[in-house]
Amino acid sequence: MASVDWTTLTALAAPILILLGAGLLILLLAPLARKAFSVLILILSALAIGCALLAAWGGWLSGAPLSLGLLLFDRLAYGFDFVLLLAALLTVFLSKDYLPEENIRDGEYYALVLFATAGGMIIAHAADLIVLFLGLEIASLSAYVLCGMKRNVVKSYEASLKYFIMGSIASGFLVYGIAMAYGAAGSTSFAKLQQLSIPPAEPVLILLAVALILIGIGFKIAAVPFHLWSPDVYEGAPTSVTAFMATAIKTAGFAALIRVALAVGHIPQIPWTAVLWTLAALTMTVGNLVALRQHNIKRLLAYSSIAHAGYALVGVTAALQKNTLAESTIASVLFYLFAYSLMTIGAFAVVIAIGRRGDQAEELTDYAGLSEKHPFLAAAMALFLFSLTGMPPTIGFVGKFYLFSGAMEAGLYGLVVVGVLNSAVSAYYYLGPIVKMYFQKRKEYALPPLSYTLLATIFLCVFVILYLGIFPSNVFLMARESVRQIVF
Amino acid sequence: MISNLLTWTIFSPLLGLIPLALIPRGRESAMRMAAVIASLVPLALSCALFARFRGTGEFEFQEIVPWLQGFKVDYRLGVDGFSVPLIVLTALLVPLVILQSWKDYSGKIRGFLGFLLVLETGLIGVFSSLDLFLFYVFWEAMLVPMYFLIGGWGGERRIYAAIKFVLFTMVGSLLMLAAILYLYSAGGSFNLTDLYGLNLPVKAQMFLFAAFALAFAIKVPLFPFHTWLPDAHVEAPTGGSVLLAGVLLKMGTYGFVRFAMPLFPTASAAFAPVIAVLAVIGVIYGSLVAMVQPDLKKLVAYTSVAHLGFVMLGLVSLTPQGVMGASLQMVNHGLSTGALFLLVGMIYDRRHTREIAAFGGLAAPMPLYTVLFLIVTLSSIALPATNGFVGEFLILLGSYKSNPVTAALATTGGVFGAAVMLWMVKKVFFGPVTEENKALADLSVREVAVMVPLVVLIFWIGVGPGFLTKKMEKSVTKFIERTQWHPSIGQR
Repeated sequence: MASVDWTTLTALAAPILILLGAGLLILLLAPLARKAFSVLILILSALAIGCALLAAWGGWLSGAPLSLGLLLFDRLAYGFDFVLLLAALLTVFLSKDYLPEENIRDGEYYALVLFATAGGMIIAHAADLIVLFLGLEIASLSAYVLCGMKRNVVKSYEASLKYFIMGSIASGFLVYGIAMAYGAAGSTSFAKLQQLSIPPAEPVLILLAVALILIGIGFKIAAVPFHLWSPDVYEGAPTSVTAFMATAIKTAGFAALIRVALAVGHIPQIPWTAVLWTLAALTMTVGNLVALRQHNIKRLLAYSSIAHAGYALVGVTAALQKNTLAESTIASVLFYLFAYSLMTIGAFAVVIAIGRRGDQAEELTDYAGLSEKHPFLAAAMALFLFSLTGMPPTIGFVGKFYLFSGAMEAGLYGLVVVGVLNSAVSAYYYLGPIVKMYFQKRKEYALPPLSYTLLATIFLCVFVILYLGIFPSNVFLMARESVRQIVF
Repeated sequence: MISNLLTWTIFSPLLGLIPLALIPRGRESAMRMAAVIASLVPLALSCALFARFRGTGEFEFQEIVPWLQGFKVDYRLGVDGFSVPLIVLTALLVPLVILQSWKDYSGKIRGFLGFLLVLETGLIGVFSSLDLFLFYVFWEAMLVPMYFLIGGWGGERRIYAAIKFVLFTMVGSLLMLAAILYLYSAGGSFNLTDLYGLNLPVKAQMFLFAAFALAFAIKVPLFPFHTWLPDAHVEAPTGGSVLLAGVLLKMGTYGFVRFAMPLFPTASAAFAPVIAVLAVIGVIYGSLVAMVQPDLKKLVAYTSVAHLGFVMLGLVSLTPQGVMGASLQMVNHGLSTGALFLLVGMIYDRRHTREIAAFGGLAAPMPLYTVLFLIVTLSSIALPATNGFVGEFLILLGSYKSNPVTAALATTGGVFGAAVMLWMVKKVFFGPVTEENKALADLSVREVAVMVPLVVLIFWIGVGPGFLTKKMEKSVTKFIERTQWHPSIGQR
């Protein structure tokens, strides 16, 4: 490893550095935060994310992949940056009017969102298992705190504590796995793991390593059977944080999974297909079946997000079929994460718009008759739910199409059938809120005034979901370009 | 505009959404007016399409625009003799439906009209797609407006019916999506014309045919996948029922003609006897169950099961007469059953009930209505000189050639069907007039105007079907050619 060239590093890692810097600045400003400052902090964090997006765009365009030993800079990493930053940006916009309502201190909140996003990006850029772990911890620790930010609400504390304990156990597994990997390869860097001789001298060690790491990541992406924490946490956490966790943190988890898979995917002793097949099928099926019985919209969306992690896992399974990497399938996973983030954040935005302090309005019955009082909100929610179901012409359909066609090409016929049947199951519970909103009446309806930032966020999601549902080509080609030159 | 006539026909209904969105709340007749005008545009365009369609047997009016790069998905349109009549039928029924519901749904008419127009776009799109991906998009997208039409403007159990409708359709169509994806990975294309004649192993064909056939059989509906239909029909608003029976069911039979059978000829030859048996069961069962229905709409719904059984029987006979009859009967059923549902809707508007027992002797207060109802009934039971006769006769002729037993059984079912309808007519229109029916007003000018085009077509096709068959002939021949191609044994 040559001495670090700081100028190059600063330029390449600008997206991460901007977020970290802005986060620190906000923390400094936070004690001063009063009414006027809170808007300033919002603008600051949005600006930081915007700049980071621009920097990531620049990095993506420059194109030359570069690995600095600990961090790497290829288009795949920048591609994940886009998804993460987009999720963060939308979360920030969602939060503006939600925070004062829930008595959440905005200084820390925005800083933590920025840190968590930066953590996710560090995962995407990790060239070493230790760095990956570091990123995961930065993201997770920020998320633990964010979950408990609803003050004096026991549920929120419970969520935070539960998430913390479960997350710590997961991290433990991950570290154990990393240690085993070190034992097997003599290094924790992906480059070394990638060059591991075939068959490896110590297959047991690397098998254990991969198993433990998979368990750790499985917790983070809430794959069944490691999902039990997620509904409680998603329900208890502030809604904007739930939106953020369901999208950005999950995306970061998938970034970790894909990085690890890229590094050790070639080792023939690892039964990738069997493991991931089972994981994907279980995650989809359990997520969807349990979602059928939910009455609380946040829990429903929590289980739906488990199911969607399952769909994305179908893509990962296909990508690792026969232990060779199918690049375009990784691209479809990236595309799907992007699509899923948009729809999920949109849906949570509507949840926020409908909820008010004191009366959370999180039950499905609270949605009765919404179409009459707020046609736009109801229509937007219906669109998000249809998109989550995978109805054309929405981005949700296109995303599933890319995923499943990749899986079909990899010969995973059974998994595709499981996947499409799961989509049919999911239609039932996604239709539930639509039935309430459109076909049921309600006597009285008190809705808090809608804020412009929230409406703008929802509108943006609606527009992108429809636009990319009809013209997805460019974004998909970009995703595919992202996986062309992967470095280790 | 002439260069992409099909695109215009498909998407012109959506233009109506703009005035619908802009007209302020309360100006309802303006909305209805806008919707009628908006639905006349695709009607005019589809008539132009029909007139300019030459019936060469090849796909005409093709439009190809690359769509999803990297996946060889194109926006590929084209029509042949099977699809053009169905497009015209769709475009014809929508304005009639809007006119029929002129007085209904005040307070929430905007959504009704909007969904109707979106549905029309989806339906015409299904009939003109030559790319499997595009076809699937239209096929699924059409679920959403139909779901809202049933759920938002339907009867008492509308929510149950709407969800049942969506779930039944989705299970089938998602398996079809899996099959489409397999076809893409095997054939390297979503382009239908490339995929015709693809040399697939027999086992794969069987699975793929089963997946496609399930999706279409649910839509048709073929016995025993029909259970969603009575619910959906009874609960749907009149307009929804008309389009459901008139056009949506044809998506199923059309799917067999366009996709399932020509794409997988070996499998469809193997499955043909099964489908024929199910179709015959449908004919007999549908008629028998219709016999005991106390509700007019449900009765008509079950006769639909029987009629669509006939269509399927004609298709799987794989004889020129049978297929031609099936193709004709698709249109005929759309006209006659669409008309029946419209008529039932008209009497429902007056009495707010559809119980057969609530009526009797309607011939006295409503002579005009009675005449129209009789004409449509006779067309539905295939009396000579009406359209139904031409179609059913050809189907029976064709299926007799391929299997006399099924043909004979189906004929029996046809007799049952006729008995049901005539018995219903007797109960509703003849006999003594009950007190509450005495004062019923006969049809208004608007209602007659709704029925006239349908009645004209019933007789026109009944007396001179040549104008239709001429355009279908070559496509029928082509269809039979495609289904006779067996990769394992070569051209038969």
